[in-house]
Amino acid sequence: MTSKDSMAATSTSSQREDWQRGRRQHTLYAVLGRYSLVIVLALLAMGFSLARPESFFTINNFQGIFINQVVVVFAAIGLIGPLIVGELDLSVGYVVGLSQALVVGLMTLQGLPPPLAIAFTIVACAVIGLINGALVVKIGLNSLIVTLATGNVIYGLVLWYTAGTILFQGVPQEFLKISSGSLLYVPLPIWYAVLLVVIVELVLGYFPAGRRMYAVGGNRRAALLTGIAVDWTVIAAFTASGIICGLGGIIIASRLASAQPELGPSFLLPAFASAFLGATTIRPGRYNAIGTVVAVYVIAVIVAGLQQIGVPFWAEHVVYGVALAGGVALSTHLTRMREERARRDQLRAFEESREMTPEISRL
Amino acid sequence: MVLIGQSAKPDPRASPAGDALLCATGIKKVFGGAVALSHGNLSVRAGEIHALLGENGAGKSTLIKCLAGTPPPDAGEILIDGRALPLGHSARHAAEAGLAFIHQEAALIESLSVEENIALANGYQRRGGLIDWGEVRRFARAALDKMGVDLEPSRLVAELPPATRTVLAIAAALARSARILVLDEPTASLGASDVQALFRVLRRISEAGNAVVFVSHRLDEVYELCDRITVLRDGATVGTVMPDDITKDDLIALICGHRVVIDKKTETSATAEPALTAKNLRGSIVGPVSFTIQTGEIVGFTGLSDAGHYEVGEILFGLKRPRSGSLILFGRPFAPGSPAEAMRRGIGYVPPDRNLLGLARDMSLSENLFFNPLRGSPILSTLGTMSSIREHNSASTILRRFAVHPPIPTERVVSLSGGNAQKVLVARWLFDAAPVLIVNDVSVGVDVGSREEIYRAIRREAAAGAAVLVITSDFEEIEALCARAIVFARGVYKAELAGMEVNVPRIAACLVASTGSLRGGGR
Repeated sequence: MTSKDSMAATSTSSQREDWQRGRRQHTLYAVLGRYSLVIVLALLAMGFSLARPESFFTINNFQGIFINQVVVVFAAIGLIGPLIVGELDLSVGYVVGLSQALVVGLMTLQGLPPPLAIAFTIVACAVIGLINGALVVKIGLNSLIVTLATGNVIYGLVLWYTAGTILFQGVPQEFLKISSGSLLYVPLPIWYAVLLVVIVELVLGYFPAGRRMYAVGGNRRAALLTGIAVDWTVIAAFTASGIICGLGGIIIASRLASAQPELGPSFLLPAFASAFLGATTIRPGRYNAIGTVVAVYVIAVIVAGLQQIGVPFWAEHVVYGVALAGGVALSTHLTRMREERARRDQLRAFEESREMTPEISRL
Repeated sequence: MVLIGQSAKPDPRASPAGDALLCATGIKKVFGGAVALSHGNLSVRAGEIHALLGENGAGKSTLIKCLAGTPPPDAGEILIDGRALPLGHSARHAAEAGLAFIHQEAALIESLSVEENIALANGYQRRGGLIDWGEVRRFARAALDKMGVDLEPSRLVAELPPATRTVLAIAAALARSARILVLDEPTASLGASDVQALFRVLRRISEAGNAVVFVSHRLDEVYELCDRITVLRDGATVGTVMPDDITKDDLIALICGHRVVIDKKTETSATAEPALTAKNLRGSIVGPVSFTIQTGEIVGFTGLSDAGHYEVGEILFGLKRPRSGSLILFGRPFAPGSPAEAMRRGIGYVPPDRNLLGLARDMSLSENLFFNPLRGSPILSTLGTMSSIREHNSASTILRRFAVHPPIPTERVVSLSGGNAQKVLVARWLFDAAPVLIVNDVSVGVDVGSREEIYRAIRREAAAGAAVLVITSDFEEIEALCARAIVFARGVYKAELAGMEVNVPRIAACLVASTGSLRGGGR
């Protein structure tokens, strides 16, 4: 029927079997690659547990790690939206900082009831995201510069709003209940993180909206030419980032029963390291929610473990930096090794099949 | 047909050894899951222009990459001027041996000037440790003069048209004493006048004793320019021939491995009704133009690359607003403000540049087919969610229908040959039958076999009642597809051809009549 069909028909069956064998091996490596970070997480947890069975291998320790990192999970998952559509969001940490300062301040300084304070805070964070997105697509500014700028403006406003002091007096009891309770023996913050991951993963994998985001990141002009509202997709990604980071800020404010003016920026690097590292696992090559969570905990376990075996306090930042660059470099290297190995197998299979097939026929 | 190189009777003109400047034998390369090249042979003499032909996926690009050392071949021998390159040679080895590679997007730095780009390839001239800018400019001018090109060395590359960039890349390569130039589809995006200018440069440098390897899908160009032709098929060299010894049909058969049946154009059916009417349409380049396209009709819009015919498609698809004029689509006024709106009214648009405007190369074939999952939506199930199994099955069916090889929905576009990638792009727009289809440059950089398959798919849509608008500067495409063609020159309607008049010489003649010469129309 067609040239390619007839071409395929002339290739021998042995060649096809070799091809399939090569593919199967390829698939095996791919599966191992997909879960490599999960395996790393398990090995790390086991390693530190063996090294410090009395302190590391305890329910309290694991629960502590889980709960403490919930806000990083929110910041990192907020970040993957802009990353998927091909933009950077350096304001994620600052938005978390704004959110916790605003929600506590509205209750303690302005005397708003908790539900109203929460609603107002989420709207404020959404507006920040909206502004980021609008500056990027409508004015055409570079997202790195836009979010660096808005982030610092937010940081300044937070310092002004809190007068640079920790807000802790008069935080209503019911606000603290948001994070202090538990359901089925699992603390509420962990449920919030699970809920977030499920929703984000559903949207990214099973709703057209998620696929349109990946399409915009994959080739923005092609996305426009298939009728995708590219501008609104980018704005929506930034707005979602603002809302998710805002939720993270509310959770940490509730847990700490206070607002700390300088809290925000410290979440920036863990969030980026987790999002990039997370893109190497579960769905390799794609920013994805589950991979991001795995990466958050890989980094957290390394930090907690190192602290418990007596590495000094500053090591945390070295870990973030190494995780960011080293993780990405490692995954690139592994992918290349996998492809190289598959290639060599294929070459060998081809040599074998060639001995059995006649020379290329001449016209 | 006389086959040389591997044939029994030796031909003195084509002996592979001896005076060959470049002689590659038994080149082999395996990528990921597939053997890209099993037995690549190529022998090129000093002073000749040598065509390298083959379908997409036949191994041309792989052979070139292996010569360049990016990556090196897994096996085989490469002799340059009688001296062997080491196995596993690097790009540096190849460059030092005198090989230079010029790709479609010439490797130039747009933000730098012409002289700086030449100096980057060749080293900056210095005096007392500092760059001697006067000498840099003199050197650049000498390098350009040697090829008979009049180009101001201080101009920025970003300002140069594609043809001039290719010439600049050649000048930079020769300036660092390259002797074998490999050009990968240098004419794919050029208009007729630019092609002729490039050919003059190529002839000049080959006459100076350099060897040129010329990769192209345009057989007419090969016949016009090249001294010998090497054909690759299924990852192996099948022969080297002289253009004088082989007819075009035989050459196509050698490339495809069988004869391609060129379909005859379908004539408009009797039940046709007006699908799209434009009245005094005017854009920033084009207009005013008026035309009507009937259902079931394939109409061509053509001209030199800046004639404005592409702009008509952009206006129809809502990418640009017309300055004035009106459109009527199936009896109702039509003024699309965005592609989404145009699509809702039933317009499909295959964009001209598949890498820039069409496909996401790192995403899978099925994601590229359903790039915007709301369009056509064979994969949406209840609650607006997407079922991955349904998507996989639909994608698999569509890929088979459009003869994409391999028809595996999870494969990434980047692993496909150019022709198959183009079929994916065409399939994205043709699988759900938009009533009005606009196809831009649908066969640029596509091999003969794939091209025929794409044409067949387009004819099928027209036969099913779609109004098809073919927009291209490739006159052969117009001749192959269209029953009616409108020729544009400098934004205005130059001529309308129909039936037997729609052929390459006739279209070219219209343009000559309009501008005095083909060359004059290019600027």
